[in-house]
Amino acid sequence: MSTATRSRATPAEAEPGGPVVAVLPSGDRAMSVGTMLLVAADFVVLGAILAAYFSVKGSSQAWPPEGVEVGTYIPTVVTITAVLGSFAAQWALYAARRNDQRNVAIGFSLAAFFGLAVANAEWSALTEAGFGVASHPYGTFYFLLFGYHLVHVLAIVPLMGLVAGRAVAGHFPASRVGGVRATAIAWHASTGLWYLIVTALFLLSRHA
Amino acid sequence: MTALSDHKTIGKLFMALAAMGLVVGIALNLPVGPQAGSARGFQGLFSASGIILMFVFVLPTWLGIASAVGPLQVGARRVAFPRAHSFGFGLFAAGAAMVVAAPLVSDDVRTWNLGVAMPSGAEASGPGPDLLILGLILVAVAAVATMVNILTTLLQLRTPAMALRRMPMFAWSTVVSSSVMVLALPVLIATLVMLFIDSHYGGQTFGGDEGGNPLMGPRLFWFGVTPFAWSLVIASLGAMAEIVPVFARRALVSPARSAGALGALGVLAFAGWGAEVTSLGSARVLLALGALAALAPVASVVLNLLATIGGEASKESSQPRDLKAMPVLAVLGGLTVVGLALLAGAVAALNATGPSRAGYFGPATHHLLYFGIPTVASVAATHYWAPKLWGRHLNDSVGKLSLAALIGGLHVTFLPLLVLGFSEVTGGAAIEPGPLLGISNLGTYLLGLGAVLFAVNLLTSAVAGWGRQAGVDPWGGHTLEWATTSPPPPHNFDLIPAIVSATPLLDPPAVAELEAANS
Repeated sequence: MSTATRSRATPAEAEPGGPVVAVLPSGDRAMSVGTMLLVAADFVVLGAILAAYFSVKGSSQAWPPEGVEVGTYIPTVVTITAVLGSFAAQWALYAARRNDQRNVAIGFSLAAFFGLAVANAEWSALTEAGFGVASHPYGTFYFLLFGYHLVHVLAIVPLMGLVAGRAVAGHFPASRVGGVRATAIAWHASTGLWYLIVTALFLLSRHA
Repeated sequence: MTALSDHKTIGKLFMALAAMGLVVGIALNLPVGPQAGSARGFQGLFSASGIILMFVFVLPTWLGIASAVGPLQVGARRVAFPRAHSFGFGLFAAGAAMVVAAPLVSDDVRTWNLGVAMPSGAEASGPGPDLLILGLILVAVAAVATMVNILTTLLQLRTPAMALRRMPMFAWSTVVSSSVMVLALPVLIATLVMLFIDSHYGGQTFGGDEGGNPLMGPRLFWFGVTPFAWSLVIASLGAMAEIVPVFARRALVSPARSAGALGALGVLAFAGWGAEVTSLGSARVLLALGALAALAPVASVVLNLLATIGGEASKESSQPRDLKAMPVLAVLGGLTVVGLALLAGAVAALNATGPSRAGYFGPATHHLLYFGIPTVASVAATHYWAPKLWGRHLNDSVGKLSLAALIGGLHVTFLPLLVLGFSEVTGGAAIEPGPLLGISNLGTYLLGLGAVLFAVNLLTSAVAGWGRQAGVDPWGGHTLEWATTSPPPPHNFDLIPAIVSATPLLDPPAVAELEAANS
């Protein structure tokens, strides 16, 4: 009996009473599904932090505390840069689907550059905040939420660099774009997390 | 594929780690020295020793069985992310070591009960608290990563034609329980990170001079751990529903109802979290109704199991019914624990705003539901799948002794606490706690004996290779894992039959073809 393997069986092979076959289902989509499940878990982490944030905010007299000025410059810069990174990551994904590995490398190199810019802006937001983690509850959440996003950015930027490098070496033909798609999803998700953070910390920062 | 990226190896490592966690967790609950004969009893489920039982025994047991058996049941040749799987185990082992070390390093954390209040100030800093908090974070992150891996494998790498409706009951329960875990454990991770920032960097999330909300810690904690604890019950019920039909020599009665019940339990697992949180006031009544509703699917699965056991064997079955085999004995004994846990859970839910949550009733109920059910199910599952995973049967006599000690221990430990608690619930005549607590303490020793016997039996079989050698299908199993050699090759299968039902090995012509191929 044959022990040859093949990729996902066709419907005909799956019919009742069909032949006994050795099958090796494709794992390419698995990369995307696994990434999306991790992203779901990630959003739950942020949801729990925001639940604590709004509960503490609701029980505070002044939010943010007196003397704390909530600027809009850095959040605006971070938001625009993160979105530009998302465009670049999506460009890389489109290129991968067309088997254009040169543009995969360019797209992720650009996205990594925007990621570094986001990290730089967030770092300066933390170092120039004028208050600390222990100053007041707003300070705790400010550092926690910025830090949470910064950790994501610092984890994804090397990943994008790695994918760009591997694309140069021709590792992502159109038939194997799982790694490219997963990296793009990771960046889009981190941008989505940022939207929620900026909404909580800046747009809904004051008592009605 | 290296041995350490083989999902079966990782699964076995998780199971070995869990066996050691069981012994340590119960040892920490043993009433010894000045505590012997005192009113110690089991404290909150999420006291330090309870945390070890939940996170270093029950959790890795099911991570291990799901890792090793899940991919085999769906005809996958590997997990979706093999390297992440071994990395996840490493992370888990490091976290588990820290969690176990915490109460040994510091007496402070022994008195913690994270379900009641988040520790603060000096109480939350120092090597003991640090080890416990960081260890739990690592364990939870590793569990999420492992379950994402298993869930992706079950959803994406299953063999063609294995639609969700054709998935074996244990694989389906793993899909449900891993989904619940992936959505619940991140809440616990976030809570612990905030607690760590509070204790180390002067953060003011759960307290502090300038504000913070001390009520929020226990709320978030229970929102995370209640569904997580239920997810372990879901996997346990799935394993029971897999084992019973094999030895009853017939298909499971109403498999769709059981699968639906497990799915419903996955949703209802999130409904009863707040019944434990006293600060929620009248909202607890609604949440207690959620906790009560979650018991219904459990009862439904149990009734299906009883109907399967009570029915006639299938005429097509070539083997006689065998309800005295160790795996099914463990399930039958386990059903007594499930029955007691359901009863206690119903009383606790109906008295959500009463005194049942305080004192002895709440912790006893939690231990029976979230520790008792998964423990006996894990004994059943280990005896059932050991021949497949490492090609050796566990010792039957030692197994029966450990089972008797564990089931007896669960009843003897927690029944007296339920009786004591029930007198508080009903406001009846006060009962002198001394004698009942003495009986409960004896039960703890019985649990300890069962744990040691189980761990020794598992480790000598898996590591030292003791026990009878197993064939391809020693039990007459119904599902794909029994279609390959014992233990399976690194790639799991040479041949996989076309799947037409959730019990492919009962479907001709696959049987003859596979037997010929595997012989």
